[in-house]
Amino acid sequence: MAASVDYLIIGNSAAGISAAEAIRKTDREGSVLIVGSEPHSAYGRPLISYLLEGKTTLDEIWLKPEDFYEKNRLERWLGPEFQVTRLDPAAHRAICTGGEQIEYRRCLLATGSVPFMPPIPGLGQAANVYPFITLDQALSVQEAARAATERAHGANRPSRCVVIGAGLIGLKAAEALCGFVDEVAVLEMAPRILPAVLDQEGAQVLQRQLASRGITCLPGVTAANIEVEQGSAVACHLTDDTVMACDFIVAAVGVRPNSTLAVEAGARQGRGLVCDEHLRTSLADVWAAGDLVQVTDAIDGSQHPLALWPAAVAQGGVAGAAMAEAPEAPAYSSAFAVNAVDFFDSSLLTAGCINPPDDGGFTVKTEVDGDAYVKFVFREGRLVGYILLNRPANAGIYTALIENAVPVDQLDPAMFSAAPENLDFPQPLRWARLHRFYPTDRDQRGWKEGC
Amino acid sequence: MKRIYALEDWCIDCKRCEVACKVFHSKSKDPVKAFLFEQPRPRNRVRVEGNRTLSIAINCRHCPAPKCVEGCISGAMTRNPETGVVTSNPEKCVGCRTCVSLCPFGAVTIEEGPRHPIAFKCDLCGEVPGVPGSPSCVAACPNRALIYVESEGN
Repeated sequence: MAASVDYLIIGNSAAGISAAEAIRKTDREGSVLIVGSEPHSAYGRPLISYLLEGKTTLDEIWLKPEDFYEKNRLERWLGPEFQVTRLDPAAHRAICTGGEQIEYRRCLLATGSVPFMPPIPGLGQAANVYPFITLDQALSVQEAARAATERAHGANRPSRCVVIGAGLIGLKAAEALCGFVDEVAVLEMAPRILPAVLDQEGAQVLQRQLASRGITCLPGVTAANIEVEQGSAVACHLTDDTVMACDFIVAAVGVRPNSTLAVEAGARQGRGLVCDEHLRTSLADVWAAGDLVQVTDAIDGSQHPLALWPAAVAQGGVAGAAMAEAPEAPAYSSAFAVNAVDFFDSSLLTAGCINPPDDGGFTVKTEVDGDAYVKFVFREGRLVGYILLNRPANAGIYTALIENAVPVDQLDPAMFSAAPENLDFPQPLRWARLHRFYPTDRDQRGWKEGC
Repeated sequence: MKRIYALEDWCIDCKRCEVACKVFHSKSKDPVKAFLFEQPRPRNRVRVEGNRTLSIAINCRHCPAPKCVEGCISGAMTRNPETGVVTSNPEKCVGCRTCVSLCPFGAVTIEEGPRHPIAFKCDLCGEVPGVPGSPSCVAACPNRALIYVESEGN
């Protein structure tokens, strides 16, 4: 198989789909080919844990309606044989595992992240070690969990899964697997769970809530080596010198940008691919969007990838518009992390800077109220970050404060003690916020002039 | 598109908009049944902030580039490109609260749904998702503190 297309999109998830939509807004005619190594239409990747919990189904997990690709005239090559293994920017050509060649006019790399496999002795030799990133991996681990529990119960013992890594992926996997195995233990090398999105105090509150649901988190402990018998992991020897028997392992220590393709083709890479404000890489006619791109952090100016779904969608939109040469194509300036996640009945929303350095001129306000833990981080009179554990109401108002760098002294201070409201903004700002596109022939009373 | 605008000069915190919204989005369309008996409980998607001296009704602004849609991990939250109406599909929503963390107005709430908590928001009282109807809150407002008028943006 060979193809020659105007737009080649490598990656069939958030960023790739969003870019395809953006291209179609400007260019109705150009040919678009989406290639992806997973044999599925685009699905809500973070939904895989919700699928295992029964909060969504294999009918509802798809990101777009069934006719999406056809309606937008997006050709798709999906499956492991269509994994692109080589990119030749000079020749404008991509080559897939199966040997297929694709010539393109413009190319988007939207290949996301790949799981990082920790160098733990034994881990690579065991067949019952699962990542938890793709739909097929989630279904495999679900099957493994069911089988393990059946076997364990046959031997009159409880089944146990060890999750290595208490980040968002590890803990969502733990939550999902709770329904299929008797015991879930989560190891985390860092001194607290969710080291990237929580602080010490919040982590303790959440860890207690997880414990009440049967998930044992062991921060500060990880696996030193894995005991393998007949090709299967049977126990984890931990760094605190204990031995923990296990039926299978989920490896979720983290992800790294899946940018090898571009780097091998000579693209500039920092902590992710280096792109201009329209997300063009240093390679001719190659753009990138999603987890593999390094972006400027709006809070501290540092450069790093932002492996988050909303960021991938936003970046796909920017790259797609630029690729199709949309008039007034938007630029991607800076961004900050906003995370929303739930564990059982607990909700956790975090944004921006949550663990400020002592010497950066930050002030911090925290509050513990029963199951709720709230933290606000301020700098130079502006909100720059928050943690809202079990107090989610109206959180987006805080996010907007960070994004727009709103001076806090204009606002009702009460908004940091309870759920924020629109009335916490001063009148002129409030009017401007809530009355975008208000008809110019009406006044603030809703009356037309002269009536 | 036509948008709902709230005018705080006229709002008297009577919350009739909330009642009308909840009743419209109930199965029975009966206030007593909607408030007391119906399961799953119908939810109002407009919410009055404030008190008797200063109040305003808040509902979805149906943004032209909605952050809730951009962030939605399940494809539940969508904007109809023809009408501009933003709606959440209860079948697809998993209740992750990404929309809550991104809506600048606090116009999306996560509340108990038929099977698990899901997002609720203003749908402009459309009978078909994405097609605006005739907003019940506006009809119920005794003071014209809610108006439904042609706006100057898409």
